[in-house]
Amino acid sequence: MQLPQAIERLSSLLARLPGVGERSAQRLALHILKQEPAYAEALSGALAGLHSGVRFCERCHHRATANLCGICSNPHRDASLLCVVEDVPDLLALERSGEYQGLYHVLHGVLSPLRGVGPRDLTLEALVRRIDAEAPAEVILATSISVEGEATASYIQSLLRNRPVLLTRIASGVPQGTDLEYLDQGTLGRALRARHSLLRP
Amino acid sequence: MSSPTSLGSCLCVRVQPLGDADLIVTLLSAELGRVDAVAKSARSSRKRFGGSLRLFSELDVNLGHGRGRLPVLATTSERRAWLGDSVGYDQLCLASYAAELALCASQPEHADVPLYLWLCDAWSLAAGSVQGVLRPLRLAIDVTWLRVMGLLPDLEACVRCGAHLDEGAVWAHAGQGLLCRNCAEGSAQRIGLDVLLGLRALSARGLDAEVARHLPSAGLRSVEERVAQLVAQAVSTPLRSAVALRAALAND
Repeated sequence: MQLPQAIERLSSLLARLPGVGERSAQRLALHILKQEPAYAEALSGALAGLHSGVRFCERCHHRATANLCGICSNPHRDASLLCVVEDVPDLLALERSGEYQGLYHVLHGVLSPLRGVGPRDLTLEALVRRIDAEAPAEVILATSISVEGEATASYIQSLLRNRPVLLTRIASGVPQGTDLEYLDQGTLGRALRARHSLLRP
Repeated sequence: MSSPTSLGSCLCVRVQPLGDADLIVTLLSAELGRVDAVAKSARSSRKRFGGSLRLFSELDVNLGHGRGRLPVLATTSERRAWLGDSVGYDQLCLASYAAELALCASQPEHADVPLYLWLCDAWSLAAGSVQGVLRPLRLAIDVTWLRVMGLLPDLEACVRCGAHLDEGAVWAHAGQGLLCRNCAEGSAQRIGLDVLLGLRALSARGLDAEVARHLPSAGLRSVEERVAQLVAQAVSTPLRSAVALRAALAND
């Protein structure tokens, strides 16, 4: 059955969101229509203000509402630690862990020749400038454990080769709660290579 | 629900995010050519695929049926992976370039074992590349790809008179062959016999890393450019990774 054009238009826009298919988009559009008109107005206002109200933090390239994001402007964060992440969801995941109190640098992607993403498409120059200016004691590379994530980490390593900074890579290996017998050989191999000592003679 | 279908061994050529947690994986199957499939929840859970869905790896694959247009990956297990933990950007560029060339040459439901084996060799070559040898390795990839595609010019005989090219050659202005000294036109740049012998060795032995590394550096640039032109003419659309590779070559 044909739907009114306004619903079709909203559905087609919603269907462009990640993880939303055509049928889900239609359901969402009909759900919005079922709510009070004030909800649709608030939603459209929030969407309209998104681009004008949000910018990139000029220090770490996280999303921010001012020149600096909430993390960079927080004086209680440990400025001697700098964690390099691919994208904002990765930063949010690390924040949720509650284990990290340092600062971040968001690359906005990984090096991917297959997708046409090269070094100039990432915030790598800004990263090097920032490390030179702020001289953190440690830079933690938290790009994904994939071929492209590893190549990006390796590229950053080459950029920082002659700088007096401790460069570390996040650990990878056996996920918590997993039986070794079910692990693939690549993950198990990495876990063995990245083992740490408990006792020394 | 129908049981999964075995796709046999496949090369993982491209991986693209789909929605929140899925991936579209492009595989090159030795038996079925190019296959696109959805890996459900591959980004959010390691239960089904573990770490086995890596780019530039060879996998055993079973396909299931999904609700959408594309088949769904049921199970995968890794046979070997060419690019390991400490992969460099140059290696990534070279492996990506080979992957894109293979994608251009492959078709769905069309077995192409020589192309499959060529890509295995190309990734092996990329994995072994070190700084300073990117240029000859790229040339080796181009030359052997043209050979697999049946587009490599005759490296033995003059395209005009048929004489054996035993003193080097020049590129013909028109057409895609080589000319002997007697048939040479104008001031075309000469291909030395040592370079020609290197190209013949690549053509005969395939993607041999030793042959590629020992291509003579003198006089290689013009050959590279001409071979790259032949490749560019053969692929239907410009390759994204060729841009990255050019930039990497400039720094090599």
